[in-house]
This record gives sequence, structure tokens and C-alpha cells, in this order.
Amino acid sequence: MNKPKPTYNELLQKCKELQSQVQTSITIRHDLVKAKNDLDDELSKFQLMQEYGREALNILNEGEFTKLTLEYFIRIYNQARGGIFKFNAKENKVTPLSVFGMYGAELQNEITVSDKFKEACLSEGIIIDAQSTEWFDFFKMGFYKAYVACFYEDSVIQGLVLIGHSKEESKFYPELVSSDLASFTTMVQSVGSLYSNLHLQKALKYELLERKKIEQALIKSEEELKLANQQLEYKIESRTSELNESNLKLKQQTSELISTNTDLRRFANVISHDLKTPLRSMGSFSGLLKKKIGHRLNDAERKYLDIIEGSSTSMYALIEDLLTYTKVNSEGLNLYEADVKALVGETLVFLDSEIHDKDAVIINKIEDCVIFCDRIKLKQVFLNLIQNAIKFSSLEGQIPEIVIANEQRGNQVLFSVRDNGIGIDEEFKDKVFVEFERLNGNKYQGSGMGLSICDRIVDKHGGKIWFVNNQQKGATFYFTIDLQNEQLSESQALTSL
Amino acid sequence: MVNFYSASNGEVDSEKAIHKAILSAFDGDNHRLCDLLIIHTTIGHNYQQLLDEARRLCPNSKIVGCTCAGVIGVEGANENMRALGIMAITARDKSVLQVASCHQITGENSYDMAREMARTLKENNPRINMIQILASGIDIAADQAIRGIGSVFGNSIPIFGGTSSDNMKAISSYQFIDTTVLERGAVLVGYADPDLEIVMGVHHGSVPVGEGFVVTKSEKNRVYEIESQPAWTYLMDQLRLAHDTHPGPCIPIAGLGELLPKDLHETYNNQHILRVVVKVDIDQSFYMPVDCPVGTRLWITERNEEKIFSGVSKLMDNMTDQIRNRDIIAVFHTDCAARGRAMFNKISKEEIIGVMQKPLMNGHKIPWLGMYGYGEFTLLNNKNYFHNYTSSIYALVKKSNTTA
Repeated sequence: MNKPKPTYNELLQKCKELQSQVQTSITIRHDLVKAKNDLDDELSKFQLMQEYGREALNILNEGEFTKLTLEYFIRIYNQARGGIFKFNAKENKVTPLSVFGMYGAELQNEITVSDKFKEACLSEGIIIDAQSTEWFDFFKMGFYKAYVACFYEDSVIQGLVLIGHSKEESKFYPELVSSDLASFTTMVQSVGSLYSNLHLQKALKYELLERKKIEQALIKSEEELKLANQQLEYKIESRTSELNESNLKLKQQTSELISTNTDLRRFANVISHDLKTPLRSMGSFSGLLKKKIGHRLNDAERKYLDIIEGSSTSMYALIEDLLTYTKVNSEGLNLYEADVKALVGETLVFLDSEIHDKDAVIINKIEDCVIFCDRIKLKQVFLNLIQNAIKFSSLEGQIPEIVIANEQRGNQVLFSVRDNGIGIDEEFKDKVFVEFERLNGNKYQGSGMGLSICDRIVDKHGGKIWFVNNQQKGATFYFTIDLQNEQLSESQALTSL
Repeated sequence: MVNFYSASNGEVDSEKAIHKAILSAFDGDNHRLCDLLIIHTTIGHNYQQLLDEARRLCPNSKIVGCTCAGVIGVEGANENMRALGIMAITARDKSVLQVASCHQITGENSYDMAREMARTLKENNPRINMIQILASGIDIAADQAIRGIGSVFGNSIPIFGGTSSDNMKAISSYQFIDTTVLERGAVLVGYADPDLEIVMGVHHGSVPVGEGFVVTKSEKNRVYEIESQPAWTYLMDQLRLAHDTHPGPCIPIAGLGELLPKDLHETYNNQHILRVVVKVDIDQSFYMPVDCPVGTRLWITERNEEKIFSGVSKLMDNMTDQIRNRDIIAVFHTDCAARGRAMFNKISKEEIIGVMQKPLMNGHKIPWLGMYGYGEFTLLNNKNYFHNYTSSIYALVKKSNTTA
């Protein structure tokens, strides 16, 4: 059967239906294009984010960094105005680091935010709008609606990014949509990483600069050191040359000195021998004369003989002492370990007749002690000091009482010879150890050289000698000798050359 | 002889954007020689900053421009909130570039305002042989403006350019003259270089849907009623949209077709010319960009992507045929705001711009300044028409080669 022809009204109705479908398809197509463009926009956003990341990585200046960051946010989210703020989370205060598009806005140097605000935007981005009084200060800066999210550096909140538009701008600018919050939050978080990188790079650059400075300083120091070394080497060469010359001179002088010393010793021996021989003859012959013809001589004549005999004896002793003193000065020390107790014992044996003559009481308190010294010379010291003590304690029929003692003090041994004699007047204190000083005139026999010899010997041993007047009577002579002194040994060995 | 230099960028800082664009266009520091600077910017830039920095860099230049929904340059299209494109022009003889402007142009006074501007141009240089117009896209009666210019220069003088726009919100658009920003203004640029000719082409690629409807009450470009119903209410019913819908969102889907005279069908590659509605009054009357007398039949139109692409290809073929071996000095380009991201996805948009640019560039970098505006001024069979929803390309070519 043939289908009946549609009526005009049916066709008109069909036509209207078709037109309606076409209209719907126009709207759907438009929506589809919009959806596709929205997807393209999303892609474009991420491409711009990547571009931002690449560009921001190379920035070292904080101002430039925040400016660039803000410009990218504005471009990506197609918004009118924005700001990057430093966030003092402790005090809930934000301060602008960089702003964009705030034309005619009331810029705030510092904005106090509420805890509610802080909590809301700490973890993820939010949209703020002028409906809420919480964000009042931001709206004073012209914001009507804005995306806001915080960025962190090493998990510490550093700041926040705010992008949006004013009420006036809202007629042209795209609506803020919650579907953009995820990408916005991600981008703000990447700001934190890049911000951290900026600081790191700045620190590295500073470090590099510092290292370069140090390197340059080191190079400079090295050059200076080289120069100083060259100068030093030159000086050393010059000094070595001078030293060599000095050494040579010294050697010559030493050699001359040794030669002079030898001559001097020889001269002293010769002199003493040549002087002592006639003196001995004078003494011997004056004694013989007194013995053979003494009974025939009157008192005056006998006295003359006594004077001759006494003078020759004194002269003889003086020469002896002079010789000893010369030897002490010119000769070196023969240093060996010596038992002081034995040494003092030998000295007392040597003085035995003198001790008996004077009925002297010797109290020997010397304890076992071994020291490094010239045995013969040290014996000379004890001899002189004990002789002196006996001599100056024998007045007015007094029995001389001599105490000899030693005591170890650290690295040294302190020796003392104490008498009960006349003591020493304070006025002579400085002259006691001076050569040829006879403090008591001719009252006591002696050359005045004994204590000088002691002083020289002790000094050569590196020690000291002094005396102290006893509280009651007499005086005590002290001297020190090192227990062991290798340096002394070496220097004395040199001197003995 | 005039020289053209162009650049575009997506810098968001306005001062930086214009600075970079000018330096990039001149590829150095010759920007002080600039005699005329034409600026197209999307709605987000700070216009005053743009103009002040432009004035600083080009102290002796005339500055003109307008806002748009997107800029198109050699670098491609950019419809972000802050996109900027410039064409900088230098002339050995400064008088070959003339500028006139007006403020408060409306549908009511478009003829008079345009005529007055045209007179100014002619007084300054009677040899002007082509006129570029940048006018408010919301308030102007474009056909009256064309008439106004024609009344001074004759109807055959080539008029090219477009009307300014915002980002398809149909709220406000702005024009620039030197360092002044206008909201309801218009600018004319007269070119008087005897060596320069213009070759232009236009195409939209939409088709009417259904039977159409008739304007039953109107006054000049204001339409009160369609089919005896309040005009906007009727239109919204046709589009299945709420009566209080703002015209902005409707732009991409509410193109109205009007039948063209038969002799233009072949040239236009279409039987209909399109009209856009960007302003609606509280009484549900709306404003057309041209006069719309009672009895005018209008159609809802549908975009046909295949027709759009093939039409643009044909348009470019026609242009290259007309240009032949003449040197192309620069290209101006006005595209409808609805032919940007509102119509095409990113790939399609880049593709169609490629279809326009490649044949003219032919491997060279020719200065190119385009914008997505609300309407386009283009010749059809040597008569000036105002169009909507089209791609209009204007190639400035060297005249001397014609005889060679």
C-alpha cells in the first residue's frame, strides 16, 4: 500500500521538529567546542607551568622571582590581579612580596589573618570571596574573588599566592571555579620548591663567591709567601755567609785564645816557679839563719829575720793562690761524677794538722751525695771555705766550731759551711768575693784570693755562692751545684779546649 | 613609501608587553621613527599603560587602536585576557598617513560622525585612497558609518577594518586615539600612498536554518518586534534560551542571516550576510549593527565547519589571484570574535589561521595584524559592506608591480 501523502500541517509540524533538532545540535556543538577548548586550556596551563618552572629555575633575585611567578599565575589563570605574600604563620601576619594589577587599590603593608583563614588555606587552595568578612583586608586591596594557597619551604610555611579579580573586573574575567583549585594548589606548591631552589642557588652562589675570594686570597698569600721565601732565602744566604765569616773569625779568635791561654799558663808556671824558688830560698835561709845564729842576735835582729821569713811565706802563699786563680779562670772543668761525702772527708784529712793546731771542732753533716763536678776544684772550694772558717773563728782563745752540711733542693745541692767566728760586716758584703780584698787588713794571714777562687769555681759549675751572718755569731757560706748538668758539661768541655 | 612592522605577544604586564612588541616589531631602536602605531589588545590590559609606554617609545607617532577578543599576528592567535598586537608604520611623506577620530558614536549619529571624520581626513589629504576604520562594536550603525564616509570620498573608496569588542561579554569595548581611551568612539586612518593598493576578501561559511522570520517593528538599527512579538523574546524562544539571557553568550549561536542581493551571491559565496546582536534593551528590543527595516526576513544560522574551511580556502585563492606577483607589504585581518575559541578548538583555529596566512606569506614574514572583533568592513563587488561572523583579510600591495 502506498503511504498517504502528508498534509501541509503535518509537513509544517515535521519541519518545526527538524528545526528544533537543528537548534539543539547548534547548542550541543557549541558546548562541545567549549569543552574541547577547556581541555586545551588545561593542557596549556600545564605547558605554561612547565615553562614557568624552567624560567624560574634560573632566577637568583627574589624580587625578579616573585614578579615572574605572579605574571605566570596571572597568565595561566587569566585573572586581573594578584599578590605573593610572605606569611608569618606564628603571628598570623602576611606582608606583600610582589603585587600585580592592583590599580587604585589600597595596598596594605601588613595584613593580619584569622586562624580560620590560616587553617583553611594551609593544606590546600581555597576560593575566597567578598561575602565573608574573614578576608576583609584582602578585599581592601581590591580582591572580590580570589584563589589562595600557601607555599612551603622544607615543610615550613613561607608565603601565599592570591590571584583573582575585583568586583568591577568580574564582568570580564573568568569565574573562579573549584575545579581549578587542584592545579592552582599544585602550582603554588611548586613555587615553594622553586623558592627553596632560589635560596639554595643564592647560598651556592654566595659560597662560590666566598670560595673564589678565598681562592684569590690564597693565590695572593702564596705569591706573598713565595716572595717572602725568596727574601728569606736571600737573608739566610746573606746571614749564613755572615755567620760563616763570624765562625771563621771565632775559630781564629778561639785558636788565638787557646794559644794565648797556653802561653799564659806557661807564663804563670814559669813565673810561679821562678818566683817560688827564690822565695823558698829566702824562707829556708832565713830559717837557717835564725836557727844557727839566732841566739847571737838581739831582739830587733831576730824580728827582722821573722819578718823576712813571714813575708816570704806570705809571698809564697800569694803566688800559690794566684796560680790557682789563674788555673781556675783559664782551664776548663774536668767533669765527672763525684761522691761529695768522700770529697769533703779527703779535704778534712788534708786540713787535719790545721784543725788540730786550732783545736777546731768540725761537725761534718755531709750526707751521701753524688754530683757531676770537677772534683779537684770543688775540693778547693771546701778547702778554702773550711780554712777561712777555722781562721776567722780562732780569735780570743775561742774554739772554732765548723759545721759542714748539704741539702738537696730540686735539681741542685745546697752546701753550707758554718762557723762561729767574727762574721762579716755589712759594709764589706759586696767585697767578700772580690780578688785581693782582705777585709781584716793584716790581722789574719792570707792573700785575699780564697773566696774569689771559690766564687769562680762555683760560677763555672753553674752555681751560686753567697753568705749569711749567723744570728748569734759567725757566718755561713752557702753554694749550690747542679746534681747533673750535661749542658754544663758540654759548655765546659768547649771552654776546656 | 610606507613601511610596516608588526609584532604580538602574551606578556601580562602591560608596560612590558607594549615595550617588547614595539622593540620586536622594529627589531632594534628605530621605533622613534614610527609615524603611526595601530594597537589591538584584549580586554585585560591596562590601556593607559600601553598608550603611555607607546608614546614614550614612539614620541612622534599617531597612536590608534581598539580592544578585541583576541589578536592575530605572525606569531599566531591569542585570546587570553592580556594579548597584544601592533602594526607600526613609517612614512617618508608623513602626510600620506592621516588620522581622525570621534567620541560618542551611536546608531543614531553614525552617519554624521563618520562623515565628519572623513571630511577631516580629506581636508588633510585629498589624495587618500583607502580608509581603515576601528569603531565601537556595540553602539555603532556600521552601514550608516559607511555611508557617511562614502558621502565624502565616494562609495567606491575601499574601507577596511572592524569594530572593537570585549571578550565576547558584549558589555563594553574601547578605542584609542593617541593617549586617550574612548568607550564609544571611532577612528579612521586614511592612507594616501599612491603606490599602495588594497586587496581584500571576506567569507563566513554559515547556513540559514528553517524558514526564517520577519521583522515587524523597527527603527533604524533597533528591532522592536519579530513576528509581532518582542524581538529578543522571540529570538530566545527560537534558540531555546531564557528570555533574560544576555547577548554575550548568544553571540556564537545567534548569528542572524539576511538575504543578500542576487548579484552578490557568487562573490560572497553565500546567499546571506550575517548580523550579530550585541545590545538588548530592557523592552526586549535589540540593536543590529546595520539598519533593519520592517519586513526584513532574518534566519537563524548554523556554522558549517566544512563550508568555513573551504570558503576561506576559496577566499585566499581569490586574493592570491588578484594579487598575482605584486609585493604584499602588510596584511590587516579582522575576524569575528565568534570565529575564535567560541567556534573552533585550538587545533582548528590554528589550522584556519594557517590557511589564511600561508598563501600570503609564501615563506616570508609579512607584517600581519589581526583581531577578533564584533564586525568587519569589507568590499563586495567594489561596494563597502559591514559584515559579521566573517574572516576578512586585507592585503596591502605595491601598486607599481601591476604595470610591470
